Amino acid sequence: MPFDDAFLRTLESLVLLARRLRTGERAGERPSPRDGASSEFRDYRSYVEGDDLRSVDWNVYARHEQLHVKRFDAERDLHAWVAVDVSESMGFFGKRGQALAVAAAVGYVALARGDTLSWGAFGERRVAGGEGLRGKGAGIGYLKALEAAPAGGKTDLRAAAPPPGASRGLAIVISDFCDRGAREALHAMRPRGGNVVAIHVVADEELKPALSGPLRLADAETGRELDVDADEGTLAAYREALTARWDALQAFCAREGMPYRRVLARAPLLDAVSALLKPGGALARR
Amino acid sequence: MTFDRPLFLWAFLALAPVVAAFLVKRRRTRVVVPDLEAWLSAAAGKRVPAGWRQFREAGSLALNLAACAALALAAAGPRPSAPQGTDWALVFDVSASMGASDGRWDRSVRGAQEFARGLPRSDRFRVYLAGAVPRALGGWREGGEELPGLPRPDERSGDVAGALALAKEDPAARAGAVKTVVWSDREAGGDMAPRVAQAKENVAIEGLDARRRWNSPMVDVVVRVTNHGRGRAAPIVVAGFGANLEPDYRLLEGLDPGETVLLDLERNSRDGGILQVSVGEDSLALDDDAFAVVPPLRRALVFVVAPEAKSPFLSSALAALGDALDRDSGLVEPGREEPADLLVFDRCAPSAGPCLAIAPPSSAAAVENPAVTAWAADLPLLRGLDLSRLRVARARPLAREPGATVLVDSAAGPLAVASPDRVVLGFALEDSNLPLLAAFPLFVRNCVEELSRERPMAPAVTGEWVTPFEGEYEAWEGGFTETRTGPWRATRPGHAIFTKGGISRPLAVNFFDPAESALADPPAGRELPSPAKPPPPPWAALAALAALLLAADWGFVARR
Repeated sequence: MPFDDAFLRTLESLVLLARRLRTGERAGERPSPRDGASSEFRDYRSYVEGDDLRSVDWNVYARHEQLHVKRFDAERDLHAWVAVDVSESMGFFGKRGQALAVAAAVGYVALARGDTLSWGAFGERRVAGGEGLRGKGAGIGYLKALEAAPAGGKTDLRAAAPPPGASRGLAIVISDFCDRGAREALHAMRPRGGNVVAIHVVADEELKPALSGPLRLADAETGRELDVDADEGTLAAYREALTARWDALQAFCAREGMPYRRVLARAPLLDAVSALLKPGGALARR
Repeated sequence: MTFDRPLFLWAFLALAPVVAAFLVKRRRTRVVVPDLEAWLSAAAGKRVPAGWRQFREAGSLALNLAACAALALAAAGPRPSAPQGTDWALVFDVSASMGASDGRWDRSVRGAQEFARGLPRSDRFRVYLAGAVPRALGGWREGGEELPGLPRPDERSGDVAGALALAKEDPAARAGAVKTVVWSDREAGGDMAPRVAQAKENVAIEGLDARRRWNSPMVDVVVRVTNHGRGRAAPIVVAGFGANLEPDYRLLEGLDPGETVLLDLERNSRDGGILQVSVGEDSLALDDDAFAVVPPLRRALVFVVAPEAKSPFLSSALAALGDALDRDSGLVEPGREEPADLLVFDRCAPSAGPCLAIAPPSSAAAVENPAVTAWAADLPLLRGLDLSRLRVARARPLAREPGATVLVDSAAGPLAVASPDRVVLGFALEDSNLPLLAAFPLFVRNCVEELSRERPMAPAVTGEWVTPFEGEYEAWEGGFTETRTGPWRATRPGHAIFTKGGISRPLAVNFFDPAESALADPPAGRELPSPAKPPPPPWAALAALAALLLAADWGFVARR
């Protein structure tokens, strides 16, 4: 994966964006509603018995003769879950490579930001993954593990569901969503209270297939066959059906409040990452 | 059904690759796609029932096979064998007038060629030549083919009626299917006779007679010239012969249309030779020149063969010829062969060669006082003679042999007959009053002239057969010499020289035919009908059908 220094610096300047922040239990760089010991002052409250005397603001006591303690923000980490589709359908037109690259980039952003990263490569089931990765030092292992993830199998987005430990964080699903149960699977990730981001990897070749004449089409995952005459009318109908399918997924995500981004398989990685920076995307600049 | 190019029927084997290509095409290419869902949605709206699809594929195969079969059939050039066509007899008048310089012959040949090319292939044609002897030229040919090579028209006459009869009776023609087309500048029969000629001016020499005066260097020449044109003509007549003699020019003041003049030209020549008379060149070259042979002035060598003393009557008759006789002439013994101009056998058997036989030995019974009933006064031998007072006391009548001409006839039989090289009298001079008549010396002179070994041959006309000698001889004409046997045919105006045994016989050949020279009134002609437009060849219809089938396949089957 082409992660040069400049690109890594770019990634380090990004942060994963979660609409509803559910922080983790570990300290991190993300603000938490709980009281903490960070340097960020929040407000005062009256002293109660048992409070640490070190937190009493003596200046206020001198002025008002009442004991108040200072309250500070707590900073916790974000538990990011990256699920990347390595099924058979992703083996066309460079989709799998782009999906892995995006997964690597997003994961690196999480690690660089101090978030906890869990990830999974899935087809019919989860075929590779890791949990609880922290720090940039884990990045190399993460990238190697991604590259080594075995590919193949049918697409079953239920296998993209985050593990229980990461269910309350940010789930990023990178796939071509060639699964009739994709919407149900995405919806099922929501009750766990996590944020779900759908990154849809598509290819121009899918929309404009270079096919003509009488063909016997075979599904790469199911092996199901279909005889078609790839004439102009059939190709137009195919494009219409595919576009409608993609648009329906996008509309579903909008209804569910899930950020949805479409990434072109042949696009440079920087462009693909940039697409995630757009409003409603999965990344933001610090 | 017949085929012009039957080898192309092998193209039907191309149907097998068509079927194979169809089967190969029917096998769909298998393509693996990431997801079939969108394709299923797209195909759902265009799903074709299997039965209709199979019918459509079978229909496409049938249309393609039919188109290929039609193309193969078209390439083979099918031709319906029925119905029977028409046999056309193309009759060409090859008489001399068709060779006029106005191009009527070329126009005729061109028109006939176009006509033959326009005939459908079911028709046939054959060329007939209407010359002096009508005849067919080559066999029957199919419509559209080229004409056979035609000779130039130079014959003396054109027997168009004979050619038409020959065509109608052609055993190789299809019964009841013969139609005739005549290309002639004369009124002719035939089903069609296109106009080939326009009226042309023509002045023709229609006769020439050149005769040397007896024992004189003077030659009397008479030329007959006729204007066959529609306007007045003033031709110049040129006559000349011999190597060292200037030609004689004579300007005719004017000849009205149809007028004929006889022109007397007196020439002085001891050597003789070929006399050529010409008028100016005009539409018909054949009648612009005429030829005559003028014998040289020479003394005749005459020998008299008699068993006894020479008849005094004969002696006096020969003496009357004066210096026309060679001084070596005289009496010889019987049986002695002499190279003489004339041998006179008096009361003895004649030998071969030109001779006058007087009362030769005969087994015929003698007849007393046979009455002379007729004599051939128009023959050269009796030219200028009056034999009305001829009386014969005793004679042995001669046989009427074929080829012999009766000179003097009687109730008892011929008294004098002539063959080409001899004259025979059936009575002795002493038994008649012939020696006492004034006609006798003239008769002897005529015999010397007409029976001389080197007498000029009578002029011939073109197309005539002449026999200059018996047996083998050499014939010279136009600078070429050939050895021949039998008759010789005169083909063009001019002269020929025949030689045998040191004896030369020149011959003048002329084209004297007023009918052929008259070019003023060609017939209006009956134009040929436009050739019936032949139906389009079957191959064109088949090719169109193939294109239609392929278009149907593309439009109604392949495109859907």
